[in-house]
Amino acid sequence: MNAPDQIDQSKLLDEGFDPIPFNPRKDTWRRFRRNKAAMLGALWGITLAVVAVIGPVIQRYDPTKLDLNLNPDGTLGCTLKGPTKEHWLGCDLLGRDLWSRVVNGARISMTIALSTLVVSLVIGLVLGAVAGYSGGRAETIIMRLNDVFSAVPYFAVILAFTSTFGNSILPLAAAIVTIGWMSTARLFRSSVLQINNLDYVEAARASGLTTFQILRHHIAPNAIQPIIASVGASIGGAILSEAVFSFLGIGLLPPTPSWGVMVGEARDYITTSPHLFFVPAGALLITTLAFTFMGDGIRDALDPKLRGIA
Amino acid sequence: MGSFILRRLGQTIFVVWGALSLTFLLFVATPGSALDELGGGGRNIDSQVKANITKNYGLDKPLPVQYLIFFKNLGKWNLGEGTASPNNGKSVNSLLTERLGNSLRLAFWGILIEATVGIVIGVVSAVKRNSPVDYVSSFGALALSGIPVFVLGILLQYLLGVKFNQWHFPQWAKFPIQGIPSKWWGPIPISSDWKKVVLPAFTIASVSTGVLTRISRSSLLEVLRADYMRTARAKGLSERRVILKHGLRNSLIPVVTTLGIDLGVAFGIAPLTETVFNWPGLGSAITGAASSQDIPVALGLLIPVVLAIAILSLLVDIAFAYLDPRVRVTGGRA
Repeated sequence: MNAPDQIDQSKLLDEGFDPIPFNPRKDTWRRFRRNKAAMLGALWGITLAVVAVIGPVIQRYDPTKLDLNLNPDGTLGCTLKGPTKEHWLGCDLLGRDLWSRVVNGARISMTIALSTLVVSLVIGLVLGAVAGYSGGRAETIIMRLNDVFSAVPYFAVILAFTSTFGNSILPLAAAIVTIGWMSTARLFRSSVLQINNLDYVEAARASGLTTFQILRHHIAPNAIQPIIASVGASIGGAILSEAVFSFLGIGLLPPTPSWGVMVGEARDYITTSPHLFFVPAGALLITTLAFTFMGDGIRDALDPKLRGIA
Repeated sequence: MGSFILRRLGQTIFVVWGALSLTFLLFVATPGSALDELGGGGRNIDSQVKANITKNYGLDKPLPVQYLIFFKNLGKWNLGEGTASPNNGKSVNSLLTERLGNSLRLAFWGILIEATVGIVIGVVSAVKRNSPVDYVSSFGALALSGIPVFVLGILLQYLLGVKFNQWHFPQWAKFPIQGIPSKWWGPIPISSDWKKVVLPAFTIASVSTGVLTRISRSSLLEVLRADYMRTARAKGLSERRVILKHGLRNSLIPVVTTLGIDLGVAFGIAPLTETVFNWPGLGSAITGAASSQDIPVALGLLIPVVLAIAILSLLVDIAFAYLDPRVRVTGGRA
C-alpha cells in the first residue's frame, strides 16, 4: 500500500532534482553552465582547439604563399584586397590569404598554450607539493628559486632561448614555461600547506600511510582546486605571451603566421587596409576574452563562496 | 617589526643577486652577439678588427672573470656601453637617465588613472551590489583585464586618430597618436602638445584598472559584512559616513598593495605601450636593443628595472606588515 506522502522520484527528476543527495562534480557543472559568458568562452576554446586540429583541411591556401601576379588594372594579385569569394578574409600586403594565416595562427597559439600549460603544471605541482609537504630546506630552496625566477626580466629569458635555439615555437614555449611555472608552484604550495594542517590528514598519517599515498589520495584531490580554477587564466596568459613577444619582434618572426606577428605587420597599413589589423587582432582579442571569462566561470563554479565577491 | 624588516631585507638582497646573476648568464652565455651584426648584413670584417673589439669589451676573458667584472662595474654603477646601432658606443648610464624619466611619467599617469577609476567604480559597484550598475561594471572590469594591451593601443589610435575624423567628429581626433610632449614640469606636460600623453596613459592603465576595480570591489564587500559596520549603522551614522569612513578606509589595504605592485607591472608592460605610441621610454629602448642583439644595452637597462621591482616589493611588504601585524609572524603576503 502506498503511503500518501511517498515521493515520486521520476517526477522529481523531471523537475530537476537529483535523487542522489549531493554530487559535487555535477553541482559545479550546473553552476558553470548557468554562467553564459563563461559558457561562450568555453565554446570558443573548443572551437579553437578543433580549428587547430583540422587546420590544414579548412585553410584553403598555403599561409605563406605569395600572390603577386600583375592584374590588368595594375594591382598585384590579391594584395591588400578585402574579403572576396576566393579569399574569405582578404589578403595581406604580400598577397597571402588572411583566412589561411589566421587559421594557422590559431594552430600556433593552441600548440604553445597547451604545451606550456602541461609542462608548467607538472613542474609547478611537483615543486609546490614538495615545498608545501616536506617544508624545511627543500621548501626554502624551492621558494627562493621561485623568487629569483620571478625577478628575472622576461626579456632575458626569451632572448636567451630564441638566440640559442632560434625563433621558433619550441624555444618560445620553453621560455614561456621558464617565466610561468612559479605562480603554479606558489599557489599549490600554499594550498598543500593549508590542507596538510587539517585533522583528516593527521589521521591518515597516524594510520601509517606512506607519504606518496597521503599526498596522492588525501591532499592532492583537495589542494588541486585552486590550480584547476587558474587553468583558464593560464591558457589565456600563454596565448597572450606568444602574441606579445612576436609583436615586439623577439618571439616568432615573419613570415610565420602567428597572430602577434600579423598584428605587428599590419600596424603600418592600418589607415589604408584596416582589415589586416582587425582579422588577427580580433582573433586574439576574442580568444583572450574567452579564456578570461571561462577562467572566471570555473573559479566561481568551484567555489560558490567566492561568487559575487572575487 | 625590526627583525621582520631585517629578514625581508636579507631575502631581497639574495633575490636581487640571484636574478642579476641569472640575467647575466642568460645574456652572456648565449651564442648570438652584436659582433655577428658588426659591419651590417654579413659583410666580412677583418679578423684583427674583430679581435680588437672582442678584447676591448673583455669578451675574450673566461666567463667567471666576466661575471666578476660585471658585478665590479655594477658596484661603481657603470652600466657599460652600447655595441649596436642606434646606441653604438653610447654610455648606458646616460641612455638610462635619458629614458627613465619618460617611463616614470607614463607610469605616473597610468597609475593615477588606474587608482581613480578603479577605486571609484569598485566602490560604487560594491555599494550597489547586484544592481544593473554592478553587473555592467563587473563585466566591464573583467573584460578590460583580458584585453591585450597592444591591441587596445592600436585600436585607440585607429578610432581616435583615423576613423573619428572620417566620421566628422573632428573634436575627438585631437589626440595625437604618436610621440611624447616636448616640455615637462615633473610628471606634468606643460607644452601645447600635452594631449600626446592621453592615449598612452589610458592604454598602459587599461588592464590594471580592470584588475584593481575587481579587487577594490571584493575588498569593500568583505569589509561591509564585518560586525563593526553593523555597529556603525546601529549607532546612527549616516550611510554615507558608514561607507566612506568605516568601510572604505579598511578596505584600502589590498588596494594600496596592488597599486604598489602595479608600479612594477607598469614597467613590465611598458614596452608594448611605448612601442605602439613611439614613446621614448625604457621599455622601447630595451625592446630595440633586444631585437638588434645589443646585449650591453639590454642588460644595462634591465638592471635598474630588476632593482626597482625588488625594492618596490620590499616596501610593499614592509607597509603591509606595518598595517597588518599578523604578517610579521608568518612572514609573507596572503
